[in-house]
Amino acid sequence: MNTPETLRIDGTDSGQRQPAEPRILRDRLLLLLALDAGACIVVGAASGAFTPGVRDAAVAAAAGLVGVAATRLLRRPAGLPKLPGSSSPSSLGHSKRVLLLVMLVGVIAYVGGNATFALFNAETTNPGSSMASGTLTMGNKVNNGTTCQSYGATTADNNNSACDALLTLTNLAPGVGAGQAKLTIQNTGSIDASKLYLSAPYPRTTLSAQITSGATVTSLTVAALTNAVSSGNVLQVSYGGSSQNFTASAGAAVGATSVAVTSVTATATFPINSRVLNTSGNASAATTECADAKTTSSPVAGATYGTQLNFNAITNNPLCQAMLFYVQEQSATGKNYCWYGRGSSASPSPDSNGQCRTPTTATLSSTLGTGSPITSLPVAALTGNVKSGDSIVLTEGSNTQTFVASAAAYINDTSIPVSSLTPNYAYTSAATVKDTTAFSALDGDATDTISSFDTGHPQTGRIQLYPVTANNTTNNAATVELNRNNDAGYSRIFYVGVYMPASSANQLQGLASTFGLNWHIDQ
Amino acid sequence: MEDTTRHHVRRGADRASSSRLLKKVLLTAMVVGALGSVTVQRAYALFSTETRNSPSSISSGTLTFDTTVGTGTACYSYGGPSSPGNVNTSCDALFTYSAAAENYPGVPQTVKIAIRNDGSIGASDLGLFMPSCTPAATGDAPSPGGGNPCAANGDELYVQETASDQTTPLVCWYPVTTQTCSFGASGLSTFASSHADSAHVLDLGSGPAAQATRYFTIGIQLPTTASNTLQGEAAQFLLTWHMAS
Repeated sequence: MNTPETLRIDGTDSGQRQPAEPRILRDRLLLLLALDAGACIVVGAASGAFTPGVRDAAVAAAAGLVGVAATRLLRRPAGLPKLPGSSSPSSLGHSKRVLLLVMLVGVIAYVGGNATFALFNAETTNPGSSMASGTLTMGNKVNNGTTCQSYGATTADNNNSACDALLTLTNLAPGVGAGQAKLTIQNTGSIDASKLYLSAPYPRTTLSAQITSGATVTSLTVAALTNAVSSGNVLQVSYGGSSQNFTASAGAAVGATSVAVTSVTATATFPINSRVLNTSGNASAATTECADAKTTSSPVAGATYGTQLNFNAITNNPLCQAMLFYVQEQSATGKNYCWYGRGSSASPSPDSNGQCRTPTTATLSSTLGTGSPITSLPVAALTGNVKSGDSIVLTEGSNTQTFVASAAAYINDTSIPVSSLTPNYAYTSAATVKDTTAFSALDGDATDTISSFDTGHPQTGRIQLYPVTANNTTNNAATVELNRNNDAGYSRIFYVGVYMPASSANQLQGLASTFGLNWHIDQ
Repeated sequence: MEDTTRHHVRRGADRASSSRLLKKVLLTAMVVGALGSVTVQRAYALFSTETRNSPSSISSGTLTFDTTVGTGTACYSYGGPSSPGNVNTSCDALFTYSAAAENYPGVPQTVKIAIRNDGSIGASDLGLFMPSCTPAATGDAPSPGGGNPCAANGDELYVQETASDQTTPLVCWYPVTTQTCSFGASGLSTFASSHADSAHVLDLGSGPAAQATRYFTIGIQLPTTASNTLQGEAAQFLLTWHMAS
């Protein structure tokens, strides 16, 4: 006869055995754990994550767990009385447990038993599979220079901050000072880029002394600052795949080679030349990456230069605030889009033809005849745009004549359509050809400046450069914005220019602005 | 026994609830794991790359000049105060009154001036204007005539540009554009009224180019027909040179 043990009110049995209810709970938990393990094996097997050996071992372990759990469940819990009203004989409960055990064994067998217990078996192996990742790299070529590759960075992170400068312009004068560079951005990798972005870089410098992982850092030793750092600015130091933010604990002036930071432990080693970005920059004209300094020499021998003058303060980067700036794209098929500058969609006067306003001058490519009216001006490849209706003034010596553009002309065009007019002089290639309407428009523009670009388009406000499909039209739904190397669309061409407005004041004499541009692609 | 049974039922219900909770936790963990195996790779495995053009450098030029009166020292436009800047009102006087250098009717006085562009930008315009001309008694005359040399029929003036030898005449800019200057009636008065500010300069043409110099001779005299009212009277005037790019 099976005599139930006496169950004590405190939950322990009279024989000092382990309490019955916690033991039952533990057993059921064990069973649940086994079920969970089985489920994980199902998921793992289905996803192919397990090798056969691992799968078999997991199956065996799960089976063991189930076995232990089931064995324990099959035992009547000591001291557990029958429930009142429960007429189920113990043999029925026993049968249920047996059936449950059989079901579990079946499940386990379904998942892994075939490999473990089949007598017949067969197997094939596909050896030597290989997987290789693609590449996403970018080329950056200025004019006809050498292509600068993103992977050529000293910071070893596919982020090259040292590509050629776009513009090096000296001795600019109001109303005439201008320059333009042709920039070719290429996807030199094997993977399409779904995104291409243009942005203003953060003010930056580089480490001139290594930071060692685990060291307590209270200051950063850097190359001379070109932009001031304010207390509280966040300085991001990066090298390779590591980066860490430091917070400036005190200001540092332009030219400083050390920046005090709030004490923190370095999380990685950052060698000399690691990149240091002031991610608090570009918040205002005073903190733009574009920075002004006084010139310390002149390209004209003996001429005055910035540091000799007392009326050209550099507070708030006045030249950066005055210099007009544009980014004009021209596709391989001659389609145009103005991404920034007067004429862009964000400017006060968007252009329906996709033209940025440029300070356009030209040179005649042949001498004009005076015998009959002409309807176009033959010019050497234009370095700027002309809008329909613009006044085109030719001047040679004391001779001058104004033509009116009858249609738009674009960068690289070799003629300017004009309303029919007979030249009043046989103008030669020595004549100056000037789009005076364009100059007037630019002289009245105080918006599209380098400073405005920096504050309006920092990394967080970067411009997405959708593919240009027609003049002033982009395909914003395109899934690829810079195709992989050598596919159609793997290269895009931009013309980046600046202009010093005629209204520039004396206070802008003898100043030098430095500024960069960031080009970024994503997979 | 009945209490014990009720207690057991209650404990059983608690265990069932706890077990269900545990199942839910485990199931949730499985779902999270499964989602993770599917989605994590897509969210964090994107390639990207970046290039930055080294800082472009654009610098403005300078437009400054100096004036040298006679054999004096150069006076620089940027030698004045910082505001408004590039304006120097303290350069040497062209003529300085002294008892030994008094004017007499028909006897001219001249002074040579060199204007040098010592900036890096060529000047597209050079101009000259006279902000003020006021009469004053010399104090030397026992009985000043009371006339006004700045007024009509007062002093006469010319502006002659010369070669670098400061002798050979090139262009007379005032009172009449020709090669060599000569005095004309009411020259000072007319100049002062016609070219009183920077918006009404006497246009001296373009230039000088950067680092180049232009030479001028300023002449002034009492007219040969000067009346006695101009005895013992002096004219004090400012002459300002203005250059623009």
